Amino acid sequence: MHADAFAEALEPHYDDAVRYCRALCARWSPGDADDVLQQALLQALEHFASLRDPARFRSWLFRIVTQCFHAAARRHFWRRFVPLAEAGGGEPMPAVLRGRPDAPGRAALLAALGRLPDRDRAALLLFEVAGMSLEEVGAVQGDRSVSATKSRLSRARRRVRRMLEAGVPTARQGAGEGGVEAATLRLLDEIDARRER
Amino acid sequence: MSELDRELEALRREPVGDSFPAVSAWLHRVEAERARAPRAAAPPRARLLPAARLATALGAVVLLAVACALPVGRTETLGWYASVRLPGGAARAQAGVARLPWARGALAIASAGADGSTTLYLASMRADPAEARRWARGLAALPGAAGVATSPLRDEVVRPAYAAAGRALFGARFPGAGMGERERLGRVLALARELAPGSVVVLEHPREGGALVYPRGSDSAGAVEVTVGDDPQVTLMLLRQRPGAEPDTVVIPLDAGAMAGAGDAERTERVRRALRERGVDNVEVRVENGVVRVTAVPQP
Repeated sequence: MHADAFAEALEPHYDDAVRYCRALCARWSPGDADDVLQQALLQALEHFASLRDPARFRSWLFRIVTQCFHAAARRHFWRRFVPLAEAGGGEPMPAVLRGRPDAPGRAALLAALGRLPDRDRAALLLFEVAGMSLEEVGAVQGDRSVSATKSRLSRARRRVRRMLEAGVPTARQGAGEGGVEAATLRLLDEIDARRER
Repeated sequence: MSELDRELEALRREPVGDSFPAVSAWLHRVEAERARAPRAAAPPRARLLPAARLATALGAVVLLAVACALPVGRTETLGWYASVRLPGGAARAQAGVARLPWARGALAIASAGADGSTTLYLASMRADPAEARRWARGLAALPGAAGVATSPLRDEVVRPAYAAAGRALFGARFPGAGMGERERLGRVLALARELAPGSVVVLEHPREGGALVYPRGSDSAGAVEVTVGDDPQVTLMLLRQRPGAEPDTVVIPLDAGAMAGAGDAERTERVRRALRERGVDNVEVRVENGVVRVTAVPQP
């Protein structure tokens, strides 16, 4: 069965994909990260038969997750202006990140990652979490050369390091200080948690 | 090791829970669902758009074919007329018809016959055959009435859709298209005149408070009569024919109250002056016993 083969190929990389997806969607709620993961898994399942080299499954999967994230980021922008339509049809994926609080001490890293541009954050996480090579990261990102990818990674690392050293405010702290964006994130988390209950 | 490295290392090792079995089972259910309804699982855009485009293209082709097949013009019934032959002259025939209440609003054309009788045509501007039949029954009941008949007044006009398209696209105007009441009246009159060439035309239009005079042009010796009654809003409408040109219309409002109180000489002078002010000087005007008689003068 098609799903059996896909699940078998997915299992060794599943945990990394979940971590990558959560960190990639650092600015959003865990529920939104779940949506990105669900979309990515559906697409991967649909196109699994077209994957010619099973050895490249990992980079192929992370590429799909990254593409789904960028698509969701575009939708996320328009959500501010248009009413949300109910997603039609199909059974939703079981909650993976939704309703599960981030690990203690992870908030600072997520807050710093969340302040990076989307492409820089994706490049850093593909390299550090997905374990991709510079060439693979560059291919996913559409960089013109390895040096461009290396430069992007270096810049992202430098900025995150500075923010961690300077103590970037986390979502909870931001909300306490009256940060609207952070308060929105917290509210979304609470709504998701209530839905789960 | 920097703080960033420590954080990233911790992120790589962070437990994500035991959600894989549930996700794997969900993937199996999704695949089974897709296998049951493969078309439903396809994106609606990919499924529907080609069909919608095809239907739109076919619809456009059909509409174009229909538009090309339809003739541009069509024959339209502008009104109906009823005709009757009555003994005596035109004045007597008109007097008889004038007793019929519905004939007050009718366009009447009287044609003198060789046997001393008068054939009267009553034209209705309403394309209503029932009204024409009602008129025919009324005319048949007149003393001495014979040869009562009804017939539609038909004319070729541009189809309204084509006329609207031509007007919208090119600003073109088509004769007969989108006719107003006044234009319809003019066309009915032109058609009615063909029924009885050389006849005396008496036009009454009291329902709208006006009267219509149609001088017969330079070659006509016929007279045109307008009865000025008690209607306070009498309008004298004159279709002026110039050689080689479309007839144009001159509307002459007359003060019916003042006319009613005036003598025949004063009425004549008022009508003549009103016509002259509007450039109509090739007519003779006479008023006798309250009837304005306008006669076209032959041009040199």
